Amino acid sequence: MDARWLVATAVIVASCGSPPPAAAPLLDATSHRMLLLGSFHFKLQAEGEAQHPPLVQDAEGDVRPPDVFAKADLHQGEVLLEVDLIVVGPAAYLKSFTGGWQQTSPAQLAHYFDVSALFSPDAGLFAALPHTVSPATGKQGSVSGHSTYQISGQLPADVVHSLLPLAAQTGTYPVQYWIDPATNSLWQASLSGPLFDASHSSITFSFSAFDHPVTITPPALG
Amino acid sequence: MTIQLRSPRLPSGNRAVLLGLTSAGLFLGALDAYVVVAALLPMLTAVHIPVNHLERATPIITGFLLGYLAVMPLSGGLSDRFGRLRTFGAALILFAAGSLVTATAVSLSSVVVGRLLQGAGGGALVPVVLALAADLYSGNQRSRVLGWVGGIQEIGSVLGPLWGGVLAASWGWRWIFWLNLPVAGLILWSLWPRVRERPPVQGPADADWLGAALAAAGLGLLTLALYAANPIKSPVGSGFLWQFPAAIVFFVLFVLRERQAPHPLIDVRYFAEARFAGAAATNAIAGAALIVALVYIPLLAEAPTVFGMNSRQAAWLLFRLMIGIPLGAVLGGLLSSALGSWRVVAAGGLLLSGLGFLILSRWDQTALQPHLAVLRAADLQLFVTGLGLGLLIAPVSAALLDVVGESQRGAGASTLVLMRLLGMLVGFSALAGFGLHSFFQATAHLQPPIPGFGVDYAVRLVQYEIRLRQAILDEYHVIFRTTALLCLVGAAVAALTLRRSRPRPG
Repeated sequence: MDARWLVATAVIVASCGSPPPAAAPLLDATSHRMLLLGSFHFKLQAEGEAQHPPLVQDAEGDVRPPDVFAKADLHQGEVLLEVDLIVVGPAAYLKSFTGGWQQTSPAQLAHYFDVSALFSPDAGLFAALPHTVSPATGKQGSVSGHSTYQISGQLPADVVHSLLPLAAQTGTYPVQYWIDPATNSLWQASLSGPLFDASHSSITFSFSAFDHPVTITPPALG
Repeated sequence: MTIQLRSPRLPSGNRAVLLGLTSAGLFLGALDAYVVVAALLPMLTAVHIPVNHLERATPIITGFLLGYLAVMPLSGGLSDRFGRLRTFGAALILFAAGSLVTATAVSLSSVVVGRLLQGAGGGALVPVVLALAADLYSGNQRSRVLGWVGGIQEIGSVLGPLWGGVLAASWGWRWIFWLNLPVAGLILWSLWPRVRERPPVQGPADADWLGAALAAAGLGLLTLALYAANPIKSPVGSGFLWQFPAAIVFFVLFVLRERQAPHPLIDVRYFAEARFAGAAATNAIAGAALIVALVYIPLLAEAPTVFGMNSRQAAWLLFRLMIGIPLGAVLGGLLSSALGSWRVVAAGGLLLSGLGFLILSRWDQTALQPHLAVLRAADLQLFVTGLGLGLLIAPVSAALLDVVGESQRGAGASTLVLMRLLGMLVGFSALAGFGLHSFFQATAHLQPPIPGFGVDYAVRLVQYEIRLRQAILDEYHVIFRTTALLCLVGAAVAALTLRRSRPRPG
């Protein structure tokens, strides 16, 4: 490209403020950036129909890919049950209402909530970003102090199913991302559809503490 | 709200109408005192508190009691200064504001703040309505009207848990609090011209703010000290070692202040009189026993591995106990007159209740099975426990009023309500932490089976549920046995102190 064009573009950009970024390249770049994170903190909050509350009400924890340490509140009948989850390498650990930590496997953890699948480097949320169908850049806004653009689109069912094994495997799921294009950082994302059973629910993820030092170690059992 | 709309209002000059409307407000406040007990689990779920942290339900109960106790002693004096109906209006608005905060709460802290405000408003109503009744009626009529107002308060609190449980199960727990708003609004609207009126002669400013602040600080610290925020580690709060002594210091300062204040909130000199102190202590113990029944019967009924009831069924189960209270109260009055003794009836009531709690402490998951056709032993056991708690009301009140005299009847009735709530606050705060601590100790090594396939998992799940149920029952057994013991102590106190005064010489 001609150097004068670059200068001219830079001047126009500087004088008018940055134009909205194109959605698809931003999702690719953000996916790349988020997958390179050494660690991050996440929170998720689910909403659903009053009669059919989502299995996972909320969860929060630290991720040092692929290891995860998280607390999750699960709907069990009329009440919520808090479980503590640790995934270190191929091993998973669980602590529930009574008793101490027990060793299990990610496959068994999926009977509660396999939080490591959400952030798996191969098939997790960050890996799913480039698979977003017909992404469109929406309005600019601030998410927990970060300047972001809202990108909306659809995620194919098979992609969602690998994040949340209970999600139905047909159709597409509306998804929204809040991304800071200056740093390609995903600060917030929301996903909706039949995520846990046939009824409609939505999950909002928020991320923070990028690359803060985190150590995740296997807990003392018992 | 405007004041042009006077004409369609009730003729509020009529004293029966005035008392009726204010009593309706009092009833609303009393109804909400224990309205949450059967709805606790859905409320916790709605504000995202998991059952692992059942201790966080404690402030929903103690918050209300604390607000009630902190404000109730002040409101009588305030109504002397600002007028009965103005103070009544302010208290009802506070109660309605607390209802609004609770109804719209999305976090535990807003539920607790809402309940605290509800307690403050509901507590403030009691002495004001009692004082208004005493203003409006005199002589023989006054005693009867005061008894009637006390009865409305009692019936409201008996019906509260049922009202809350039924609403929570059918429309959702938030309706319990939404429905207060139109009712409170209607009462306020009807009384508005009188609420707006300045009293013609303003009484002296005899509210003892310093005393109230000392009492509130002591009660707040005591509640914090006893609140087991981490029951796995400790049955009391982490700051217990400084909060508890600090609370005692505030209580000592409060007593010193009350002995010197020109218009004390509570005339502490009466406590030197054995009958007064005995009546107060008996009522506090009865309060502690009542709150144990109020909280733990619905919790046990709703525990998924024990009876697995919904809020409505749990509330009906508790109602078998609650209905015993007013019947016991009437019976206690008749028996006291017939036997010519307060201490026999009061001690007998607590003994009966203690026996009831002892039997209840032996319940297991078969306790609700029918024994004789439709009659269940459980129903009778619950009823008798409540009946005992009701029996002591009349003799304890009579003994206390005998000390303070007829002219101080309102103040005496307020003291009894205060002591009952104090017993509830302290008893529940202590037992809740103690119970959860023993539960978590008992289950520290009880590992739930991790879901999988095959017979093995199903068998282990059943085994786990049996052991979990036993741990829940064990916790409840300890709490009920402790309560039974407390009732026996109360019976001894009543038997020793509630003597009738000999006819005065001359």
